Amino acid sequence: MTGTSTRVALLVLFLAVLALPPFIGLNSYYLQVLNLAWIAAIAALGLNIVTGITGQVVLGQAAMMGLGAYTTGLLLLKTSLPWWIALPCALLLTGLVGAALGLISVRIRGHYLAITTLGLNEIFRLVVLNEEWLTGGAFGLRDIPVVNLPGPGASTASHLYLPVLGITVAVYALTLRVFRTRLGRDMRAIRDDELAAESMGVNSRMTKVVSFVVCAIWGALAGGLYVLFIGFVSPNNFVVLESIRLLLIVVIGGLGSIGGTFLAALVVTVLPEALRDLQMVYMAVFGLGVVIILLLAPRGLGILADWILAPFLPGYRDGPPVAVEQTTGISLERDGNATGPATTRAVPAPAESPLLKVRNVTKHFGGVAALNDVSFDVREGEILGLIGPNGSGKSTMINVCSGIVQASAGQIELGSSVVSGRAAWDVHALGVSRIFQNVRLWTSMTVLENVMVPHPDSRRSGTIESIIGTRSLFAKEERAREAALEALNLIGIGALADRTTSDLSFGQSRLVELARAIVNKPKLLLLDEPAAGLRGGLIMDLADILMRLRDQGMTILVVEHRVKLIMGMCDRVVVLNLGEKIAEGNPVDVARDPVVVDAYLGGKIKRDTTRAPGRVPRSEPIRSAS
Amino acid sequence: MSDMAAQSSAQTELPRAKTDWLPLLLIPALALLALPFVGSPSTWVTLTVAGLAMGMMIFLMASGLTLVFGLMDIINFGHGVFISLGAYATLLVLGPLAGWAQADSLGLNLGLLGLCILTAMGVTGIVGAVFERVIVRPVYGSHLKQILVTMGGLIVTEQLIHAIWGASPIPIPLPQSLRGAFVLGDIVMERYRVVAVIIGLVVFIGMQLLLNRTRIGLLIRAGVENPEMVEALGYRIRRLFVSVFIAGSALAGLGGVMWAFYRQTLTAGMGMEVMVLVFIVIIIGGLGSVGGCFVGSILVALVANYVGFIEPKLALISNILVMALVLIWRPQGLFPVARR
Amino acid sequence: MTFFTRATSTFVAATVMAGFGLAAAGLPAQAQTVIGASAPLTGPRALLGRNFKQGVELAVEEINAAGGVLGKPLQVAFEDDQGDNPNAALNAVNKLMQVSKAPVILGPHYSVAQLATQKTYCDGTTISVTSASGIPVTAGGCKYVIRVRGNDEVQARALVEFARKELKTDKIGIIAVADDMGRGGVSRITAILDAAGIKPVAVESHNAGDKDFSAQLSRMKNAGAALVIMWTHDNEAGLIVRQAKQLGLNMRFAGSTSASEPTFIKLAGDAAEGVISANDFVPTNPDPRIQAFVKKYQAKYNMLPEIWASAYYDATQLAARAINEAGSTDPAKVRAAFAKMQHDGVLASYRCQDNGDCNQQIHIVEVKGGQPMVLTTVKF
Repeated sequence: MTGTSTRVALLVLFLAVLALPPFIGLNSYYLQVLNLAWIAAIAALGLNIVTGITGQVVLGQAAMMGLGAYTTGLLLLKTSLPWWIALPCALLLTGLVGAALGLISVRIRGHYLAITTLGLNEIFRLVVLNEEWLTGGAFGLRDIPVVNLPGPGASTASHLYLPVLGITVAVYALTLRVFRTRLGRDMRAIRDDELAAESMGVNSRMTKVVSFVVCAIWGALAGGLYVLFIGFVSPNNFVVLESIRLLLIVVIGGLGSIGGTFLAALVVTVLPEALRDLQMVYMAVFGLGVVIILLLAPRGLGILADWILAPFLPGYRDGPPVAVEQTTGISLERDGNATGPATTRAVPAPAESPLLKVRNVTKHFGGVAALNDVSFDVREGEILGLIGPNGSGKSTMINVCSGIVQASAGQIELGSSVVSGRAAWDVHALGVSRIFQNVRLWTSMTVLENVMVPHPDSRRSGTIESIIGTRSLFAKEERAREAALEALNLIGIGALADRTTSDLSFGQSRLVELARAIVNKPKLLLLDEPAAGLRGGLIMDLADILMRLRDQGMTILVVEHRVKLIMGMCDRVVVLNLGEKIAEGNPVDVARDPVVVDAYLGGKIKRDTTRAPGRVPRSEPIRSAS
Repeated sequence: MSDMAAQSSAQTELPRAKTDWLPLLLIPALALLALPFVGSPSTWVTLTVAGLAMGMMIFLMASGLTLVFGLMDIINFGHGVFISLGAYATLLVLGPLAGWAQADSLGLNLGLLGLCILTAMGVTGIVGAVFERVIVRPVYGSHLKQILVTMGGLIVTEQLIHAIWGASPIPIPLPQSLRGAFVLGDIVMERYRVVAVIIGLVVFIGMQLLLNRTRIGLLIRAGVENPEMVEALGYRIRRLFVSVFIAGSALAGLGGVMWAFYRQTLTAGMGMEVMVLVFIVIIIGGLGSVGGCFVGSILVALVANYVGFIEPKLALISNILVMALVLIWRPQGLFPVARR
Repeated sequence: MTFFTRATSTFVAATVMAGFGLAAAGLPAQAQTVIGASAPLTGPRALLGRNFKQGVELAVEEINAAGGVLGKPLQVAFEDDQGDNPNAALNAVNKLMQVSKAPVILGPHYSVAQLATQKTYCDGTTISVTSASGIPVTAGGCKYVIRVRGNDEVQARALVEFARKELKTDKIGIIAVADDMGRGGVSRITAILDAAGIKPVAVESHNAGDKDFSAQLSRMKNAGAALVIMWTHDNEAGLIVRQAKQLGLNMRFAGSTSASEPTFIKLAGDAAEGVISANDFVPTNPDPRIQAFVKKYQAKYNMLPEIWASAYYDATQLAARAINEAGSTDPAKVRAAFAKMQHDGVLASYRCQDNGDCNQQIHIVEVKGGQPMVLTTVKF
């Protein structure tokens, strides 16, 4: 019962069947249709990378194809370059356009990006139509020399069948590898939750640009192959409808499913041809088929493809699942003497030298000051509690410290480096990690992948090596995987490693998030209400873990409501109210401070009175953990 | 939470959207800027009036979509078919009342136009309700599927139009007294365009009043910014969604009628043809912003006319250029709506 | 797992069937002579495809009544090329060649589709009979294309020369649509004017589907154009002359084929009066041969024929005659038969040149009293 060998055998069989056509004497019509299917498969794969995997809706992939096709065609026609130079040049040029588009996508997002890219088709069409001296205008580029390769059969379609199929398979294999390693994880993290990705060290700008570049290059490759095979291009090949058709392939294939895109390209290209005998209504029947697939199989053809390709996808484990009992809590005992990532660090420094210096930080939202001239230190090796009534600016403080929100004024330093003004991923690289008030995991990924993303070895692997797949990439992948497993084991949830995070309970998710936050051995851990939503037993376990982390040298800044927790684990406490710091000191003193008591009770009442008369203040005083 | 508080304040004074004047200044600024380049003042007036009228018609066609887009977060590529459908619905009125169109009486002619508009809005409203139920509802929340499914719905409905009214283009006559132009010295203004400007303004002001001065308008605006909150306050957002979708479709029908009389030919694809323009306009305005849609429509139409006159080569991509410039300035459109 | 294995193999099988299994289905029955037709049956150009098909079917009916082709009934296999979609045209032509084994294919009709498919069919496996008017269609050295209409050059030259002679003005402006048709037209007209030592006073373009031509017309007015040549589609041409009239402009207008089509005339109304155009076919042509065709067409379809129905009616007749005269479906022999043939059709008296152009004439048409009237026929 080895699932892997069955699947691999099926895959090989499938590919073998695909390689058969030129040898069994099919006429060139069928071969041409299949060639067009493979070309569509490459272009759609590019679109899938940017739209399905990175989550940026692009409605202009046909323009990328067109750019690649025209560049290749023009280089062949106007210069006497051979095709194997012309094609890479076209890929390069289109890649640059993709990079520009990627930079645009950092600023223009969502629907706005979708419609902007829709305009790309139109711009491409108009430029090609109008710059007739270069592009041949509406009649297109004709008489482009077609590549001649020796091969079985008599026609060009037959000669080029195996090379085109081979390139397609290679492109898919490459993309599959990118998908399951560092770059693919970053892309998926951005799609699932961009904010979380950024604060876990993913350079979202770079990743988006790279995904747009890859998208553009695959598009250009498809366009270039088209030219080399057909010998003709016109603007009508790359209109809006072609972009929509590519999008259709991606969606029918199941968004983000690589194998699904391949199958869908085959279906979307071959099916209309097979239906041709229905004459006037064949496109309508095709459309109906598409709608049925869309409604009946929300994950599209990807279900089938991903099953076969599972050995090459993340989260796959051959054989029966490892027999580990379901862990729901933290089992510290088991890890008592383990060499987790945190234990390898040096013993705590004397708790006097400040690690994080917050100086006169002010943050305005519109006209409202969420933070007003706040200053405090977080000392190395301490757990500092940040408390205050609702709306006092605690979460904003955490966001400012982690680089998600930029302070309007003031400065934050970590050790000797300035944190404020940096992008969230740079702050993470300096050694600041965090968890969110409402758990923010990347829900389409496995637990292990979630924890691998922020690991330094993931972060250090370069874009080029991620795409080429060097040996050092795999070494780094392996180290990141081991470290992630260690971190999971430290928290006591190693058994969950291969689960998809969307299947987890809230408590489990919280623990995964904690593992994700400590896997890179941060200097400073920012926790925004880590106990929110946890059951009583878990809360005390959590406190234990945090104190152990502190003992192993980590510095922690924690926002928390529960008095018991704060009293139990914090070395010092800073109190915020209405965006201002009103007290600082050891927990016992602060709890007795009349200003603090007033902030929680009096001030609140006064404010609420002005808004809704006669209503009980909504935020209760510091709750005790019950 | 405080339902009573909200209600009591609603009766006294509804919170109004804050006005952002800067984008509004774009239109006069653009018009003034174009004047020296155009040169002749009479040509300039002709171009400006034509552009304003064109902008109004684009606005009429786009206004429904921006609400649907903004409130329901649905990319409705099928919107164009409501424009076509509204246009074809005029045939239901023009058939029996052909005499009214020939009569040289402004009253009868305008009455006919009004009847056409009401019929078209009725038809598109009903079809909109069906469209929402059958095609849009199964794909809430999935943008890519929305694009594909609404596009499929568009093709099917276009085929239905073909089946009912035939595939050949159908000419429709402009009512007698709306033909011709007003001539003031050198300045020429087509009568129909003046009518279009008036109807456009009426619809715009009506929508503004509805959105800013009524309870339902407040709910719609709140829904655009934060649908969960509206739902949490105990309103049935679904019902609101459906009514907005129907209203959006009916507005498209209205735009379709105006567009049809302007083109004087009906083709099933006439709505689809303007969709890229409509999308550009609502993106420029900011999704969900009626005022933005209004400013965006006029902006695009004016720029098209001025650029067409000054530098014809650029005219073909002028609308995309305007969109690019606006998005570089304000990535969420002229009037960004909070949620997105 | 078994489910997936089964599902997989079913899927693979289905794909293979869908892709390859139809090989046997499409083979022509030997009892008929089969030729192909690549026409826009679906999509936005389907209306053209309908007229195309009606013209062909009328011709087939007549041919079969007269004994068919090579003693067998003629059958036309239609494949959809979606008009100007190069990929659809490639697949349609390929299928007709490879599966239906058609020695002659009517269409593809659009120039861009022609150019996309010439690499495929020009190797001599099949002959394409088209009415695509783009100049490159017969200029690329393809030996197996037959064209039943004059190219854009013929249209443009006839129109410009007639207009200059009749209207005695050299202040000519051009408004063209920004697509293959318009762009091609502009370059023809400017070249012809250039040869006569004239520069157009203004050249304006617009997007297909545009509805407001204030800017273009204002420029025409400012440039002092006395004659404006429109190279655009019927809808846009109608709006241009109508808006010019409403703006009180009094220049004359001339246009491509579209300016004598019914849509244009209906849309432009009074403003259409006096607009001159070059057209291959108008149903009001009093020529008895044409009136006979109009009657037959009306009797069968209850509508007036237009240019594409007529063009492909002629194309079908030509193809049938060529095969009959060749006495074989061998493409090389059929092509040779085309070269020797003289055929009086609806559009013209055909005589094929080496490059495949068989029609060197065009009518100059003026709209009078809401009807397109043939003024003269120009032969080159």
